[in-house]
Amino acid sequence: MRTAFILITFWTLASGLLAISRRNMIHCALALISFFAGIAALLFTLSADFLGAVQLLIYVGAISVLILFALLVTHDASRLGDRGAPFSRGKWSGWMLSALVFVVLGFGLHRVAVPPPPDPAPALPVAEIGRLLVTRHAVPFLAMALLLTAALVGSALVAIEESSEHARKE
Amino acid sequence: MNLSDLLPLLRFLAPEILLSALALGALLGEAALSRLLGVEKRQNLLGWLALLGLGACLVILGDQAARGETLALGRGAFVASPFNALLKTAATLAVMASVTMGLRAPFVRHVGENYALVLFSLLGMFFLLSAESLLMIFVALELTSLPLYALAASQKGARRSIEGGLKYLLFGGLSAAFLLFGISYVYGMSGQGSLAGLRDWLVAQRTAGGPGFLFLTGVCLMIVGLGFKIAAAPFHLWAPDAYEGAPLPAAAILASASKLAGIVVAARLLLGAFLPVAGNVLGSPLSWHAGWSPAVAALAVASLTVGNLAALAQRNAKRFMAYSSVAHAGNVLVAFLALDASGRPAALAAPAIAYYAVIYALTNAGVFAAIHALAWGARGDDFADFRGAARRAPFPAFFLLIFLLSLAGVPPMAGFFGKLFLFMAALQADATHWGLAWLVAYALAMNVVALGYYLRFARVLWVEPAEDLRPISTPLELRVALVALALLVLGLGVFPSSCLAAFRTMGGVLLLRG
Amino acid sequence: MEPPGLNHWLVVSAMLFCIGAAGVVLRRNLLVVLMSLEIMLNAANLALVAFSRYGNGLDGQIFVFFVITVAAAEVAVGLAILVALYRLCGTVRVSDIATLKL
Repeated sequence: MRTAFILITFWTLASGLLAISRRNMIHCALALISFFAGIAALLFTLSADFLGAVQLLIYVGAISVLILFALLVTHDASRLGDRGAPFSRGKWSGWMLSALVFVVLGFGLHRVAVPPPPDPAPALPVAEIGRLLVTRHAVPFLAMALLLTAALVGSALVAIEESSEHARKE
Repeated sequence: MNLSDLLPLLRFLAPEILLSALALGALLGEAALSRLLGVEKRQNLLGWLALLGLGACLVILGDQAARGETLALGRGAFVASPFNALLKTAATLAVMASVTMGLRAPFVRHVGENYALVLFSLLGMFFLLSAESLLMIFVALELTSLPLYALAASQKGARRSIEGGLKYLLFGGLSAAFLLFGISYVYGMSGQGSLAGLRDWLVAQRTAGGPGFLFLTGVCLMIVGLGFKIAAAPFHLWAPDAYEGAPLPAAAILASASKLAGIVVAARLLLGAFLPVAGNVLGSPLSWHAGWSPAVAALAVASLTVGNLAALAQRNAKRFMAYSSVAHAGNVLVAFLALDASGRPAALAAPAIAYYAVIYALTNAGVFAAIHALAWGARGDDFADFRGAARRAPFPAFFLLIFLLSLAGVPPMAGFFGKLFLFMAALQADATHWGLAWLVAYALAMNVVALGYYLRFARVLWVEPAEDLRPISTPLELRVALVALALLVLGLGVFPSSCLAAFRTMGGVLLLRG
Repeated sequence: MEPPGLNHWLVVSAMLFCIGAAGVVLRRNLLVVLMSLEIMLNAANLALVAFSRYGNGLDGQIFVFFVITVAAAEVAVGLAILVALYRLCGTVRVSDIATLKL
């Protein structure tokens, strides 16, 4: 348990760091996919099996493809090396800011009382999730359906190519 | 549960159901008509249908407010109350103004999609104004924001529109991440998902040694997230570019209805759920108590300073309105701090915040509608383009003057009473010791600066000579919208105390039910 | 060996959140900024599930289910705007975009 936790944690943190620091965009995207998979593994370790599966399907499956696709659309093959500095000018101030946030969070965590984990882990079977979604969480569930529709319409509206745009402009 | 149990629920959910139907109808209408009618005809037809539907929404909301019944679903996930119905009415009116502006916007090609996004965003605000659980607040905030990101970027020929939309999206995403991380700590430490449950848990923790530092860290992270949403400095960086880039109808929603929803949800969280960990900022810094108050006080001071001083230097009307909205976020945050030494909020605080948010939303919708009417004949939306516009289009210029005076807080206008109640609430909190006097004095000084820049805009319109004297014609529907908004703003100003009393008697106002 | 405690999980989640925040602040490529936002949301999910595992009720897991969906929707809209920007300006780098300089 502990060994698995340490290994997966190390893998996830390393992928996350690579994803934000590599110069080559393809490397960033691949590191991000590995990061998503690491999170899925951590969710399995926490015995949240259903969420781990959802994480694999949506993040590792769908979102990764979406990001790779956008990467291919927005980058010429010749420019994949992404010339020029990958970081903004305020490099050190940015790292300092991030470290500061971590110190604040760490200060809070340092004092948190640690309850013993319940054994066996509280289980959340899929049937129970389904039941909760149509009873107690029915309203957020409906709102989520509308949100997905809105996102679909919104991205279509923004990304669609308009051939006659110039004819109508101003 | 069978069908006859569901029917009473439907009555409470009717505005939301109607809006979803309208949004989907707009999409279907576009699909059905795109081959039959030209863009302008579709824009008019679907726009008027949307306005009709929103009008029906207003009727239903009015009925809800008049019946005075309250319904809570799913542990605070959805609370329909007369007061929430009033807030939704104000949001609907502001969005109706935006739809009216969009009836003749020239850049729109995908008419149905455009209207559908506006309606989806309004739907998100309805859910947000009814939300008293952490989960619902998160989902509803996203439902409000996602369509607005797309709408802000929807003027695709214009680079600044897409860049502004992108900046809005990136900062919005950052805000959601902070809010969510804060929620994870707050929820994780307390195990409570509903706002009322959180408050009760915090009250119980008072005798059990406090909620712990991690909980407070979570609250502060949530304040950062909310600060982005209501554009409080220093989290306002997206606002000027998003306002400037967004097409005017979308910018009007950003500045009015979306801001109203953000202020209300911030008040529900801070003055409702997190009230027991408020701390206070009374008197000198040495006598302050730890809690969220010092953080909010810092936001208020920063917003008042940055908003008012930066607005002085603006040359573009939309950027100007963005900084003005930062300044107004500072004003409204002052009333969040109206807590006495034992942590009870002043009686006036919650009604004053709600009154101010409603007035502000309606006034800002009016300002953008008037700018839209004036920009009709102008080259752009810089101040220079509006020089002497009063001679070219006296009708919208007159109404713009009224709305600007209301924003500036000139006495007979509603904006004056809005500010008056906010500051009265702040002074009422600790009346015997001048506890918040330092903050109110600073806010008043900054509002004097504000008076200066609003009058400067009015001067550009009314006094400076026009280069181009061709008259600008204002479409009839825009005139009607301007008159209606002005009557509302003036009407709420004529009977300010009865409005406030109405808000107060609606029970609990922003504070949680039960 | 004892199993990892709640605080270990929370430290990991806080570290991931800060990595994501650093990416948002530091990177010039907008696609990487969007990716960093996803890292931050994932960090929050991890904290929610960890709290839920350590006896804080199962609602936390439902919350994560919603967050994953919201994140997917947000990525879709974000990438759509990025593609539109690239079509118009031929770039997705912060330094080439006037309004994104703070």
